Amino acid sequence: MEKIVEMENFSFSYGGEAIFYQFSFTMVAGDFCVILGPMGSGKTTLARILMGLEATHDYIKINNLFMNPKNLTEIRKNVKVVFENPIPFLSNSTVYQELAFALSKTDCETPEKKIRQFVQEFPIESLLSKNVFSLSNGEKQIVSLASALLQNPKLLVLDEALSLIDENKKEQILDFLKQENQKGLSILWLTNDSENLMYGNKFLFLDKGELIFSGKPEDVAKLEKELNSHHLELPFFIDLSKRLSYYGKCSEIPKDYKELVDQIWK
Amino acid sequence: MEIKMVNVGYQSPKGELLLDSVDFSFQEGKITGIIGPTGSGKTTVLDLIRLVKLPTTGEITMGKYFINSKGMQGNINEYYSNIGYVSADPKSRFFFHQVAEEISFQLEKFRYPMEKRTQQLERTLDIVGLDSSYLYRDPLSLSSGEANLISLAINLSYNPKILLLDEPTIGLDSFHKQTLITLLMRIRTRYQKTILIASHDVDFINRVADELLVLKDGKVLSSGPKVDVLKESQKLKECNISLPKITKFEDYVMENKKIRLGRRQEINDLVKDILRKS
Repeated sequence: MEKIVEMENFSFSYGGEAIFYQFSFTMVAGDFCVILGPMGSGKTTLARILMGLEATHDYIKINNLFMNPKNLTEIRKNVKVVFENPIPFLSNSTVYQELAFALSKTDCETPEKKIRQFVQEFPIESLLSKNVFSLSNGEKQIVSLASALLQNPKLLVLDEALSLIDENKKEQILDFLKQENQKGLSILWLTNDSENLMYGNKFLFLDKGELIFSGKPEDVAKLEKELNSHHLELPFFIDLSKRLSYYGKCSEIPKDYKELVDQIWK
Repeated sequence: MEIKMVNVGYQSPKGELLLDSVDFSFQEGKITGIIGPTGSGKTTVLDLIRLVKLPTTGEITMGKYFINSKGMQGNINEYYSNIGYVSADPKSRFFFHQVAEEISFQLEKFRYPMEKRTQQLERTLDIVGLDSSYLYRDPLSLSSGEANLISLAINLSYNPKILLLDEPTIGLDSFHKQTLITLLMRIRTRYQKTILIASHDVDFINRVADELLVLKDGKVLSSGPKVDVLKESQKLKECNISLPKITKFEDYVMENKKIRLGRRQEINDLVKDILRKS
């Protein structure tokens, strides 16, 4: 299988404090990978590293390219990172211009057509004529995600990038991301909200710069103790079913709401 | 201090109507959660109260202070000492190299006696559940969750009567969320503060708020005591307002199994409810 991210024995420190020590992580192309990590576990640093903002050396390979100054331009074309706070990356213009600017960095020849196509599936049409700075923080996140997607990256890294978007919009956006994922886009989502796990097909647990678990999203139920000791919660319906299982209800871990309810009221 | 909004509207310089005839009273000693989709005017409400924006129509009354489109009547310095504000992006408001300097700057601004300052520094962090090692950290090296808590701590250090929180749960894990909930509930009853929280995290709001103000496209969709607002969950759902997970689960059970569960805030109460009714 082709690998999109390879990190081998990678160490990184910030101001004398080791954030990653002999860190190894590989991601297969086409995966939708969710990395769960508590506050201060190194999520943002990892995102910055993948974009080539922090360290450039040969322990990291992205899309078969070593991360060194020579390859940096090529890597940044392939990897788009969307951060939680998008404000520093936006220019003072309308949303449409912002998207057109994002496209100007690619070799797309018909930006107008591409944006028109894009807005039919991505919930951003109502924002197009607005000024970027008059938007709410959640809307800014949407714009910044849209510009990243328009540039057709091979790997999309989300660093809590959907944290301010309200749930209904978030559902729509995730549906879109899942579609793109099926078409071959690799997605790496860094988050501290375990509710997000269920969207991915792979799940890793990051703590203090170490990956201490990897598996399928459902496996999170086994990690109750680890999550609690790191001040994280189980996804709501798994949490509920676990609590009910102490009283003899819900013997199995359900996959969704429906299964849970059917187990309670047979 | 009660904050009374009468027919308040705000139009941006570009002509967009961000708030439209809002009538609402934020009560003293209560936590009011302001919820609504992105771009519904949550932050604008806070901006009006901290005088970053002036209402284009209507008026806001707070004790002896009065705000309308012409400005504010009263002593502005005194007014600001009554207002604590934690922004959604607190890091952009830090400008010292150490958290300690950041806190003492705030204390200095409000003329806190010099002798008491050092002692106050540690106490300030203690309130939000962070240890004193944070005093010597560089504010820019903090994660967004830590920065949020420290910004809240700084704001509490001068004891304002009104506390405005914009998306306070960003980057917080469940432990620190719980600390925040306990803290907010404690200061609201003990010090009779008026607390406003604008947040899209409806689960957090469901656990902490007493009152709800639901906004949609700048208009008030629903408002009042939380329990009453959530009773009309169907109406909120139709207007695309996100609901707390517990409320959604209760609605799902009602829809599919015709079993009515009470409106709960904590998962343990929900478990008890389920055991009783199954």
